[in-house]
Amino acid sequence: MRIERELMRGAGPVAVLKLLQSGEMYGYELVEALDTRTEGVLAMGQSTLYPLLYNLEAKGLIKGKWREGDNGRKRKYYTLTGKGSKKLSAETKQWRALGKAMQSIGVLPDPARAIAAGGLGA
Amino acid sequence: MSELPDQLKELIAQTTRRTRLWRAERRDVEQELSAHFTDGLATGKSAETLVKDFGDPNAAAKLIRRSKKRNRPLPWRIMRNAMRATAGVFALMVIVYLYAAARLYSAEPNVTIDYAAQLTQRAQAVRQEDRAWPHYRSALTELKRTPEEEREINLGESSLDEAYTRTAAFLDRHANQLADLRAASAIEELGYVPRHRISDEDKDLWPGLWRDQQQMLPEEQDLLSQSILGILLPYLQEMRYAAICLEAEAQISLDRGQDSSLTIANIEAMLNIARHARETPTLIAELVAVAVMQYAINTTTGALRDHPDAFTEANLGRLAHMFSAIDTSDMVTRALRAERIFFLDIVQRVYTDDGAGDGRFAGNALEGIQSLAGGAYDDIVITKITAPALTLVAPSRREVSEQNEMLTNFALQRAATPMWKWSPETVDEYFEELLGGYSLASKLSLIYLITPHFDRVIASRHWFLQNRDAALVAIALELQRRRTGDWPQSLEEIPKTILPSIPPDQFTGEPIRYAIVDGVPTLYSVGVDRIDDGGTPARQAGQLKDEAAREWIHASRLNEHERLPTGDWILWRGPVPN
Repeated sequence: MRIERELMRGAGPVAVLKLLQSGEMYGYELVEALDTRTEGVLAMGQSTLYPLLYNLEAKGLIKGKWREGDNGRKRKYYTLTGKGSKKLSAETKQWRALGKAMQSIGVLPDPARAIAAGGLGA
Repeated sequence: MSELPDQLKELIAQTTRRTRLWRAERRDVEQELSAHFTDGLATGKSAETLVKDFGDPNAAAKLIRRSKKRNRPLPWRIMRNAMRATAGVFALMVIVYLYAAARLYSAEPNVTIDYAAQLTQRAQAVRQEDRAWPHYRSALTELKRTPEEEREINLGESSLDEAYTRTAAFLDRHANQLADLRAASAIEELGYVPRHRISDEDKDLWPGLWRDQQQMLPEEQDLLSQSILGILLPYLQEMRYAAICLEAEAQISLDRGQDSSLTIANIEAMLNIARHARETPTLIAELVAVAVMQYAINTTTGALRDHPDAFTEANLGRLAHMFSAIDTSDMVTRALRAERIFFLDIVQRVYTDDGAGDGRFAGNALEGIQSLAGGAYDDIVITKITAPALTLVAPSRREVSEQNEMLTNFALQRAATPMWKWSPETVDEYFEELLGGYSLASKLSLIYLITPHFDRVIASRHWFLQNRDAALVAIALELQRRRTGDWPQSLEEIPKTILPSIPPDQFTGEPIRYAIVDGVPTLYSVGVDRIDDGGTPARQAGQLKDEAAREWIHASRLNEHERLPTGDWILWRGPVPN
């Protein structure tokens, strides 16, 4: 499923920040992770990812550094900065609030009710 | 990158080239994309798939460029923003300038009132056969000196001077023309109609002007040069010259021991010439008229000093009557009112007319305004380029008209008020205040460019009144001396039948001062310092300066002037005792 561009514009940066929270990653790794871990929902073309990374870098939320990887090839590895962490935390709260709001009006399923109804993998 | 398939290399090259980033930035992007595709190939994806997954290189290049530029150093970003702001402001200024230029150069004045006709109305109404001018003209044409002779009439310090002898000989040779001048002056109306060009009839009187006029190109005049400011007034110089000749002739006749009949006739002629000069009401005509009347006064007071016995009592009475009869009620004020006409005529040639009293400056008047300003703007090209911007701050038709009206009213009110009642503020100071302290906008005001300095013009009226009054008192003193055999000790001694009232001192409003100084009867005003120095002539910075004491300064502001003259303004000194 493809996400609308406007929605992606808000979700993409948070997703990248979240992925980097667990450790440094390089461009292709991020592309793959977004694709596989979100089952393609947040997959983005490289033409979108790299500008997104440069923007986050310009805002000081992530930092890129060239270094050799395990295979001996040079790659640019991105890490989350302190400022990026704070931003991620703030954004996460907002997404949670949004999710809750969406649940309350039925756009997203309410986990409690879903469990009661035998859903959500129960 | 060299290990990548050609199509990926081409994609990277194409994308980075299109970013138009700095070389180092492009290299960074190139390396990153290269690493990206290498990683992609390593996972087993084909080059085609990677190209497809990458998306549109153009869109990528655009997005990369935008995001990379955000990573540029802060000084660069500040500079870029400053340049953008400057360019924005400049663009805005250009738009405003173009708008102003379009407004300025598309504006067309609309001349609706023939002010020249209004100005010369009185002269035009005089029938040809009733005009004094043709008589003046023929007398003055013959009174012209030959090129070898100087035109100046100069009696020097005494009758022994060479200049005196030369002038006397010249006037003797032209006694008939002087008689013709007297006859011309006795005619009721002058009938000289001033125009932009001199008439064919006047070409022998003004051959130089006539020659210049013939050499002028056929009418290429703009609206402004057709205004009443361009009207020629050479007759005024002739009227002044006629009076100077008559004054000199009167003095010479008395010096030769002749009776006063010629003197009286010439004084009367001078007063008539002054009246004729005022026929067309202009400021310059008024100043010439006042000067000519002053010659008549000088002739009288000089004669009373040097040849007091030349006058019969009847002639003295006649002189007193002539001077009393001078109509001073509208002296100068009439000319100030006439100046309004000049102003309004310029306004209708410089501004558009919205029909409700307002309008905007018209670009085609710029050259005329430049010549009016007389050097205020040096280069017409620069003027034309800068004018649109300047008109944004220059006053509108309504504003200049209101400014002029206020200034004229202030000047009129001052001219009609005796000098001793004048407020501390001069017309020049009021003018400056009115224009907001000579700001740029005020300097672009028509009123700033064409309004003469009124203070001296107004002062000339009061100086004349003071001198005329002193001449009347001098006549009364001479009459009293003849009756009692000696000068009176005070003016109060003179019977009211001879001197009905003692005229006021223009500086104080109190009676004019009189003292016998070393046996010489002396009439004086206390002068600008308002201190009675007993008839001591004025001194300024240690130098004798006769007229320095008549220059008006308000009593409350005397301490602002370091070089304040001391002494009195001497109006008349009688004969020196033998």
